[in-house]
Amino acid sequence: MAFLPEAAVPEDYGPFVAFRNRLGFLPNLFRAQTLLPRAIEAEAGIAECVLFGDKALSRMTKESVILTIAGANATPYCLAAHRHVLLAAGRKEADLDRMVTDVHRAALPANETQLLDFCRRLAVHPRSIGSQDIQELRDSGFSDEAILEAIQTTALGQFLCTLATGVGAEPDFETGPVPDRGNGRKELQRPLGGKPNGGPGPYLRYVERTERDFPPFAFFRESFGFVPNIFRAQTLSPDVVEAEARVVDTVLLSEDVLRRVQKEYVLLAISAANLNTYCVAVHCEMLRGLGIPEETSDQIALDHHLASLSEADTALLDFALKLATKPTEYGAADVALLRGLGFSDTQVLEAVVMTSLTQFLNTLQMGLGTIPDMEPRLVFDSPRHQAGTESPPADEDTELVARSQAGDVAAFEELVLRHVGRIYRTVVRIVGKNDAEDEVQNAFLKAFEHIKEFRGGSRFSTWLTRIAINEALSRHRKSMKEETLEEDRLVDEEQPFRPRHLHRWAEDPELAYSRQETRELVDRALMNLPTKYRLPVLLRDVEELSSAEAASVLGLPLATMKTQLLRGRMMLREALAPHFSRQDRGIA
Amino acid sequence: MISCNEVLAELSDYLDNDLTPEFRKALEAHLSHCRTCQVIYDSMHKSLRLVTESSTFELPEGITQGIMTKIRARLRPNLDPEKP
Repeated sequence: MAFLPEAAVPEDYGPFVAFRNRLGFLPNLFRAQTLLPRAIEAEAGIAECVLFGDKALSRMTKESVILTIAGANATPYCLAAHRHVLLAAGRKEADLDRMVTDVHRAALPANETQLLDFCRRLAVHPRSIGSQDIQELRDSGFSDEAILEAIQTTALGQFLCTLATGVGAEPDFETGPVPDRGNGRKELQRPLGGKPNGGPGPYLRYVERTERDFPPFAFFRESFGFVPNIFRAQTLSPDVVEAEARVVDTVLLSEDVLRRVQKEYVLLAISAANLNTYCVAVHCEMLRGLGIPEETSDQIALDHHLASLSEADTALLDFALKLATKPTEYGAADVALLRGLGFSDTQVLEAVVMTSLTQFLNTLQMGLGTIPDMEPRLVFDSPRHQAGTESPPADEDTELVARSQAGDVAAFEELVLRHVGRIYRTVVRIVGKNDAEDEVQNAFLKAFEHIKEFRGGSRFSTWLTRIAINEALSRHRKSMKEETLEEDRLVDEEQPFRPRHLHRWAEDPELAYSRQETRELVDRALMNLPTKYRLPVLLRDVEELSSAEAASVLGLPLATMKTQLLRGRMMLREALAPHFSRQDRGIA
Repeated sequence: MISCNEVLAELSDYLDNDLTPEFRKALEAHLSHCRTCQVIYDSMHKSLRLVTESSTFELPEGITQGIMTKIRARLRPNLDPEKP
């Protein structure tokens, strides 16, 4: 059963007739939205020009894209519907199953595999997409028109998957295999480190259009005061831009169900959770135009619970964020929660549609690489809504630092005495025993020379550790570079680390060896970790810094540091397991 | 029900008590019935304990003195015979 009631619709309702003609059936997904016909009409318009019909890409290639996206999201409803369409077109069942689980094993032409893989990455790791990916597709013979269609189809796939989950649509057919979500949507919140490959966007060729010769641009100018770059970048498909303008008009700008401001909140909060700087900048600007203070928009982007919103608006954003970022945990209870706060079924439905529209726009933007229309207001890198957000404790070094800054050498000596043990312990595990003393001396000397520049933005110990690590690494840059190359060859970071030792460990592993032997085993395991995984483990588990401090010391976004920390800890466990597991030591 | 891959992807955040309450609950529900994930969680927890507990190092003698000598020399460049 879908989560929301249906309204009666006449048999000859235009969009339903069109869906029956195009698909041979009327998808439950659209029946489940009859409380909001204008949404169905807007969606039918987008589906018509993005999916139905052969353009630069064939209809069936685009169906394959949507099936791939449904697989990446593990959305049973969309898997069933698009599998059915492809089976009806004569595709083999086994091929479709492989397309869903591992596109590289499906019997497809090489360039189609490449295209589907690009679309899957755009859905799952949107921040990894860059101009290099677009160039590679061009090199394989895809025109810019075809690539644009692939991006739009991927965005449509994201839209449909979110919508189907949100309304709880009953599958129209058998689903076939539903892949593990481990590599799927959860990673949307887990950006890969570094910048996207290649140069800045927009990545695709586009046609310059003006508000005078292109009505959708006149509409955007009139509605927003500017023509967002995300639409300028799609002018190779003017019909799609027209359909998108209709969606914006009927879904976003209407005020009859949810208020426009509430819908902008949804767009802003989800874009922030997806780390989409472009969409955050645009929707902060829109909210400013609606009279919402910048501080409120900033706070919604960071954590809406602290934004002084009404209880209902806070719950609305909780609902939308859960649907967008944790769809496996979303269900009828979330719909009931909104109803309990006084939202009507139609309002809940519009919240689902808005969430889906946000996923559509975020995906489009990442694929197109459009640059912000205005300065991004916030740089945000941490996943939101995590428990235990750390705030740094008071810095016990403040007074000594102030005296050192005033030229008091004895005060600095006190700081050296306080921190030298910790700094040595870190440095020795980067450069080894022979060079550690020299590097520690260099680090303190450098800290002393630059102490006037320390402004207290972090704790002094964090600042000092950062200097020590940078000094140690700069002397060992060459060996690091070789190590990184070797590592890149051996480690595929997109793949989760696969543990191999699965025997239980002794209850008290500390008792298995002498203290000295244990320390040597641990040291060897640590020193054998590649540097990029060793450093987060050192800072978190040896120095016991907070995650935020460790990320700051390493100059990494929090999410990247955490990814490296997880892998480092996994590798460390793997290295120690033969020494401490019961079976390997004959304890069991 | 979340998968083993999802548990492993979040294990570090779980150990650091850095998960949302809902996800923590889902992860613990998985751990309560999945032996493989239990073993990995338990052994990773113990690994980190070993690392934290065996983190002491003997400081080279006179390291603080060496640092301060360098700093004082830097403060009096004109008195340092090795400086031009």
